[in-house]
Amino acid sequence: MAVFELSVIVISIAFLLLTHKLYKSIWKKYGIIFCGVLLFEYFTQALWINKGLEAWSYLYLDVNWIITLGWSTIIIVCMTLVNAYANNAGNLAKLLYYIISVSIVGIIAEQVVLGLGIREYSSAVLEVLSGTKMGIVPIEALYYIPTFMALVIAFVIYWMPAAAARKSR
Amino acid sequence: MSWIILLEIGIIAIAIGVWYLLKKQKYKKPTISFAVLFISVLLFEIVSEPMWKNNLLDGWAYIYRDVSWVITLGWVIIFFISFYLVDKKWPKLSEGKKFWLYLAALTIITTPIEVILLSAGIREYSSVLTQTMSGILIPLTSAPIEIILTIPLIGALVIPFYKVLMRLV
Repeated sequence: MAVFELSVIVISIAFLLLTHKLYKSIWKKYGIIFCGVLLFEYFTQALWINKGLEAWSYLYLDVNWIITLGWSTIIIVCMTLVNAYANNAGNLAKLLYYIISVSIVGIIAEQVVLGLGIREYSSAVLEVLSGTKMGIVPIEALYYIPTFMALVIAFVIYWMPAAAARKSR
Repeated sequence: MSWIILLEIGIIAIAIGVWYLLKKQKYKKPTISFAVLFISVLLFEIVSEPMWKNNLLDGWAYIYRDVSWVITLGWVIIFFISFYLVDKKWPKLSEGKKFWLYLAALTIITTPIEVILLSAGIREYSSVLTQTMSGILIPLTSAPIEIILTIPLIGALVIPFYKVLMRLV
């Protein structure tokens, strides 16, 4: 069954098709987000296990492009909503809004993938966890997810002007 | 006096020297730059902490488990040297192009240091990480070839985070 994989693909494509007329650079932004998430997932792949997904969705060991797609869609939806509803906020405030909104959705998503048995933590991670949980998500996600998101969102903000400049040349 | 304490004091002294040089060279916001880069590296180290071990350092050099602020300072020094070399040699290059040169400089400087830390026993990789390694070593060393890929990956996430935060503060 590839219900999870297909759902993630359909939701991601639907969002991009709905917004690409409003935001011309949405595909480019999505591509940069995808690269940022993938870099992070590749780097930290020893820390988690993505299991039970279809073989075609794995890129390398248990690095899975469907999971990358899922994270990328969460990030771009939250960034788009913040840009729409807090467009007049300062850049630092916007960055914080991005991180907070993505983290809230990210923690819910972590709950879903843990519940579905798609996500597991490696023994090295289990050793350092306190055992305190929010639902089934370790409390450490409150630190880990915002940090992960902050690094990826900064990656996107850093590369977006460069991508825009390349297009205007 | 053991060689470990000499190493720790050496890193702290070089870090102070780098900060002083930044100030003397009229680098923009030197103290804030130093603090922001330190925080950027530290966040990354805490997130990836289950993947490696920093051994043998004195008790005061550790912040949390085996995350060491002296090692973080070492990273900060290397990042600033990379920025300095690239900015000095290619001041007119675009940020996007400089990024790749920063990564190259970072990798060239860090790889031999990582090899030395590994052979001295200060750095050790956790079993979850070694399980994902190919087993291929850097020629003439006992260090895994993956170091050459991992260092630019760390840089690719830390550099944008630092640069974006510096634009905002």
